[in-house]
Amino acid sequence: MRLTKLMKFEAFIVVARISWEQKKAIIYLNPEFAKKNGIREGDVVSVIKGERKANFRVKFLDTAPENGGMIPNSIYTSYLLDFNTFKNFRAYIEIVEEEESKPEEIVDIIMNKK
Amino acid sequence: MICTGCSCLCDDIEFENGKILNACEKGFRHISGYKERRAKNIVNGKEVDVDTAIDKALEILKSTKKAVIYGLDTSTVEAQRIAIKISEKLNCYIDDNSSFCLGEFVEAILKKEVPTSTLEEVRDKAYVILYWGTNPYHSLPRHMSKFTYYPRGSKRNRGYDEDRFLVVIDVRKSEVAKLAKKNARFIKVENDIELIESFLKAIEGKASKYDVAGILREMKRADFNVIFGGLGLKYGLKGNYSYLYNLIKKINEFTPLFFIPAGFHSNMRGFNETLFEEVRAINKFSFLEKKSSPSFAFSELVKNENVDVAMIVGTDPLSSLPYEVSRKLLDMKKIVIDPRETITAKIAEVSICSAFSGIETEGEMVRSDGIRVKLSPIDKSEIDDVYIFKKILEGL
Amino acid sequence: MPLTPMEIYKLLPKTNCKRCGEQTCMSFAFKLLNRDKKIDDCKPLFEEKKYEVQLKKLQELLKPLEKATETGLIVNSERCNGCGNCVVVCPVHVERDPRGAGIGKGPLIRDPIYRIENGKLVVLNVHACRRYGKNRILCIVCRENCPTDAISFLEG
Repeated sequence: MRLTKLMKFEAFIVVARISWEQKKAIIYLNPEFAKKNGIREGDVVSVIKGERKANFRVKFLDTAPENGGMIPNSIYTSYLLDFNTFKNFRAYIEIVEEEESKPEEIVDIIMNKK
Repeated sequence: MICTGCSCLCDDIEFENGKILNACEKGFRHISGYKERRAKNIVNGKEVDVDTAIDKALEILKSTKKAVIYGLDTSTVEAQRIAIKISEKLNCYIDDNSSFCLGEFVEAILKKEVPTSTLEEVRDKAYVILYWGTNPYHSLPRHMSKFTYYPRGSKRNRGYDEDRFLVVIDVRKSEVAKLAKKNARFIKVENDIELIESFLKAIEGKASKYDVAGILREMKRADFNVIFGGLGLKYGLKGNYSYLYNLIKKINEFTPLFFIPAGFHSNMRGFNETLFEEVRAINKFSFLEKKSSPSFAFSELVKNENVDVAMIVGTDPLSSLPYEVSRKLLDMKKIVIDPRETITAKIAEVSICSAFSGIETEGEMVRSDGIRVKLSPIDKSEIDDVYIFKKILEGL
Repeated sequence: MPLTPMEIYKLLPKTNCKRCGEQTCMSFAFKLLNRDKKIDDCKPLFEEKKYEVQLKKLQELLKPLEKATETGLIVNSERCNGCGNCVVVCPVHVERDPRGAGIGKGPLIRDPIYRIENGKLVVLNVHACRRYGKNRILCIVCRENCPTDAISFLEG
């Protein structure tokens, strides 16, 4: 059991467009920030914003903000956010032993099926 | 061919031995993948032919007095004009993504509240090129190489490292910020309003939080400077647009500085301009009340349950709008018109498959700087936005 | 990561035996990097068992050399999004293609060094590069303006 799995981290997260193909729920973490908090590439983290959360697979990216990460515009960010936090927000992240969120799961939540 | 992958509308796309030349990866995917994941014509979960789907859409539109037409940012100007006529006939609301994207910037430009220019002028003349709250590497991949910083211009022919001064303002060191090396500045911004105040203080020769005096000095050296404002700037201003326009005005008292929005879908500016020609408003317009209002933005209408039918064109609000809006989409009837399968279409009463503008249909689009571009399709589809909208308009 | 002569040197026998024709192992390392010499030219590495582990490491280290062009250029397509900065900044393009790549458009000349094909950078004519041939200069303009390090050169 990794000790970091028991911890929550506060992170500054930027929402941005990416030009490469985007298929899964991915959070691009700043490598330094991730290492400092014991998060490895390939981990799945929950991003928790108020009462809502979504799971993302971790990748490292040096252009992600120093104190957190970047998530591409997607159904996941839309679900987590409102117009006041549309481009960047603070949230908690924690390592989870689950899969990344899928669009259908978010749709089910939005449609109140879950 | 003209690429309609983003609002750059690149005009130098070529084909050779089955390869697509010059388009960026985003453009390549847009052009090469147009046959994939196409939308289906569906009424209440059952696949039908396109005319049946259009008839059902008509029936829904006729049944309400509270409809909104939303999207249209990847439709041609010709299609947008017909969509506006439909909303006029229905006496309903019309809005596009610009109401939460860069609409305010385009509005200020069309109302001549802020001086603007074209990308060709930027290429030929610009010295200080300032990207504020935008990372064109991802949103408009060829912006810097084709239009702004890197190309040699007629009056700037010695190359970027001598003839340009690059400024990047962002909350993080983005890809574009990494390019700000020699003759360049990167400002990591925490608060855009404070940064504007710093500029104003620096103009008066006073010290300020952000060190921007050097940037102003560079601007003074030239007769052409430009700010590209993106979504990060829009949200950073928190509604205080006049702060920005005032700063640009102040700088223009001693050196020319232009403003061009950077970002957005292929023809978002086209929607703003087309609606502006008709009603002097750029978005969130009510034909019933004959005015534009923040409360007529699609997201506000949906959130406050002020509409019961939405005709959604070329956009996917279920995945792109915040939860407080998207969850309310369930409570209304939705007609989705899109060339590609969308998440919203899956919960819509009617889904109609349209064509990709510029790939399968001709027409006109408006580039991010306001230049009108004639599209040059490589394929042809009979069923496009124009066909669908015309049938709806005739049926009403 | 760019490869340095020092990293190569560390894995050589460091005996300056001169059997490869070079005066020192360090100069052999330089030649290896420039591909003027081959790893097989270092006989002791293959003949003596004590170098077995070093040899394996060295072969692994030199793998990128195989992917590099004659100018030492390596393109990592996965990192490229076809922004075209490299195509436009290339000094050779600016000179030879002033109405095409020079002003930001796709190249109009027949044999550009670089071109974007299917959204990715493709090296078409490395012989026109300033890094090629006898009078080469170590131009790195394209690499410097690639924001994702999709372009690298062997010498770093």
